[in-house]
Amino acid sequence: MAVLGVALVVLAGCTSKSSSVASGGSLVIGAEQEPDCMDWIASCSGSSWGFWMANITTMPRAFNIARSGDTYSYKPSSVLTGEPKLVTSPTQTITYSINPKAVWSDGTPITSADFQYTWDQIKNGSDIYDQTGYKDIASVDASDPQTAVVTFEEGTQFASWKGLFGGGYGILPSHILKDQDRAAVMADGYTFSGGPWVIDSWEKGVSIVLKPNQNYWGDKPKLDQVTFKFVADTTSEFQAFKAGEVSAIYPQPQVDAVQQINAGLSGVNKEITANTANVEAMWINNAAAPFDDRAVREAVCYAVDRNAVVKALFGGLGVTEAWNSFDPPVLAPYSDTKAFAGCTKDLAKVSSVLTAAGWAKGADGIWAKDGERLSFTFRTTSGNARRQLTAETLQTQFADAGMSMSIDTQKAGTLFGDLLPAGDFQMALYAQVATTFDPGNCVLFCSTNIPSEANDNSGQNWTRTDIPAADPLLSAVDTELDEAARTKANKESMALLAADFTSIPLDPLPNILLWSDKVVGPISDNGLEGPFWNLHQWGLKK
Amino acid sequence: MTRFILRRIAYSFVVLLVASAVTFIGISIVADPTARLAQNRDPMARARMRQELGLDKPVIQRYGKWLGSAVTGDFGRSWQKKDSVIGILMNAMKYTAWLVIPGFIIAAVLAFAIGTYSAIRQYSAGDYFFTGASFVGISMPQFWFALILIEIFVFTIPSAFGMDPYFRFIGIGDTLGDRFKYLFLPVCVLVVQIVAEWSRYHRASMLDILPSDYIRSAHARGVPKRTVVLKHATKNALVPLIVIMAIDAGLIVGGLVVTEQVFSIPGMGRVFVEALEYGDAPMLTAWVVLTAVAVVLFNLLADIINALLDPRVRLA
Repeated sequence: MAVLGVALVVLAGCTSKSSSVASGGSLVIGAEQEPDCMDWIASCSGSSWGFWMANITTMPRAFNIARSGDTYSYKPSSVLTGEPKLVTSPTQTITYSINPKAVWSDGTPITSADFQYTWDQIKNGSDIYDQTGYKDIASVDASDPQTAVVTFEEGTQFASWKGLFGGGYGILPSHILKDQDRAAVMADGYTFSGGPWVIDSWEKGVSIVLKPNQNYWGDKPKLDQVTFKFVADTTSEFQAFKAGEVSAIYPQPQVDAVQQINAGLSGVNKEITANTANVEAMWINNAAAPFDDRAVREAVCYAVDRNAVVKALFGGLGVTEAWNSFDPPVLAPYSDTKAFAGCTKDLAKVSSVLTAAGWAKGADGIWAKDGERLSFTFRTTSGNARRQLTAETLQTQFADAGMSMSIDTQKAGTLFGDLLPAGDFQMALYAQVATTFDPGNCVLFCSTNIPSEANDNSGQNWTRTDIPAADPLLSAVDTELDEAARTKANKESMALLAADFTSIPLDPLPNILLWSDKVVGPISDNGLEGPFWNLHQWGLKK
Repeated sequence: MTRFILRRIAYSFVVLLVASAVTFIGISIVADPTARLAQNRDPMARARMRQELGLDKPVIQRYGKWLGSAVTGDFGRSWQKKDSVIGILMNAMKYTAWLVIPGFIIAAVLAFAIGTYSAIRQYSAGDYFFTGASFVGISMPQFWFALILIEIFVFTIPSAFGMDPYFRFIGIGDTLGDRFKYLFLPVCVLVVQIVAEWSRYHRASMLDILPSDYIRSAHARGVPKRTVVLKHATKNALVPLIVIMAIDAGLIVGGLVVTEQVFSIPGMGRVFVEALEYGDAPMLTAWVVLTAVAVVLFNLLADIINALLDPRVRLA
């Protein structure tokens, strides 16, 4: 009887929820950025907003990154009949079985030819955004339209294989694009779709309009139309939201956004999550004085009250604790999320570590060694009030610890394009953003990726981290196909990075999703697929 | 007149050449459009894009190539949008025109009326009011004024009457009726700013003209005051105002950066900001050339109108 009662309550709850969503209607959402193009595999793609608005809603993919509570996992999408078959020896082979119900918006079935075409374009096309993984594939067998067999080159293993034919790309329609100029067909928006929505229009600078894909084989959208309106200014964005001109926004966690939320917004639902794909850190140049001295890096770890900094920045959003790993929160299952938990403010430890390394405090209260003061320049991006505030807070804390820090802001293009790759920095504040649900820090910390002539100066180990014991572990994370072994290698490498104080993670840059209470449905932010991953389930309140 | 126009056009080519060279080379030196790929997990992505954009070649060579195409009317493709530069600029110009043309017409009429009134009623209460208001208008930051207008027209007034807001402020609308709803507030921002400036010029100009001998003679001959002011005085007083209007018109073709940003109007100002942030040299260079052409043309137009209004001016 009790079980029946509980079941009825649950059923009543579900019925009430589903019946409260109206069928039809249209919705306007504020979008902070406009994509540069919709040719998702080209170098002009890569815009997060473009991916959230138009890619995830229209492009079929092999895997989705599903969120369940606070955990994420790869799940085979409805394009597939189930989990692909992975063979690891003698060469890595993946066999995808395609759902016969999966069709493009013109009714043509999605087939292995589409997998083959997508791979061929990414591997052999020009002006491609990211060839990682695809360039190691030797062939895609499309002899059976319902089965795509992907075979890697001999001697290569790609651990992040679940991100292939998905991620920021998706699967391209061979029957439409073959023998066409793909970029020309897709760049300004395309008419095909393998997702719940089709792109109805893209008026540059103004809006993107989505309408339901009538041939979608899964759950059809509840709304008749969704318009993403581009709003360039954060203050206007909040005004437009308050005025009802847009019904949902996904603002960056800037100071003014936090202030607006704390000022109170009526008739509004919100989801603020620190479980994001971002890690903002104090990135340290391990090859530049004074941080080429491990003791100084360790002293930095104890000089800063990172929780206080995070609280000052995001306390208003309920985020009060510093992040303790270089893996972002969404990758927590793979990561040692306590690796940097020992980095708490302790000025006695700063003193003992530096004294033991031969540093002594000068008359000006700043540590010095061999006549060199412990002073450094802290670089970050200009025009970002939150980062400016972070820098000023850290400057005060470092001063308390006897370290002299000056702040230098640079345009993002200069910082990421020139200064960091050239090693022209001592400490810098910026974020790394994960784009796939795969760990992998070799690109950031393997010694082979320190920019050099050997890697054509394209290596991204800008911190010049060089820990011989960590290199094989970091490499294993990229190639190990056994999930347990891969996780173990990632955790062990994180512990080594923490032990060497290569850099110090700071915060997870929380995500903010706000929507009017007139909008209903299972609305939630997906740290990797964005807030509109289930837009087809959104609707208007009855 | 024809010689004058031809000579001015010839001079303008030199101006455009220098402006385009400075912009292209300057942007190429300080900005790197491939920088955003620096954190891409594919380490070769940036190198591929550099090659694709021809950034592996010397900047002078790149400028020469751009110039060679530009003289044929082909301003190339935007590095950011991968689309025709001229197409993007024409599209943006369309939106800017929706904002600027009504703004200019309304501002010209108001500036003329206020300037004339303030001059003939010098030191009256009305003159003091318009003088004070114009100083406020000139010194008010545009973004602040825009937000205040939004607060008043979208929130305060409608909520006082228990109504839904009529005016909109994100975008530009689809139909003509929509355009009024969307453009009312940004046009107000533009009008207040330029009326404040132009009305001061026109007032000063009228105050120079009104004590002139020929105006006194007209009064002495019994010409009605309205005719003296609107016909005899205005004709000469308009000359400096038209010059200022022409210069402003040329500059405004480049867009109203702040107003377009606050009201999310995808006009020339927004194009400029986005291209600058990205380091899109072909787009920025074309933008500068287009704006420079507008400034040169409007100045030329001002000179011609000036000559027509004032026969003492000779164009030789």
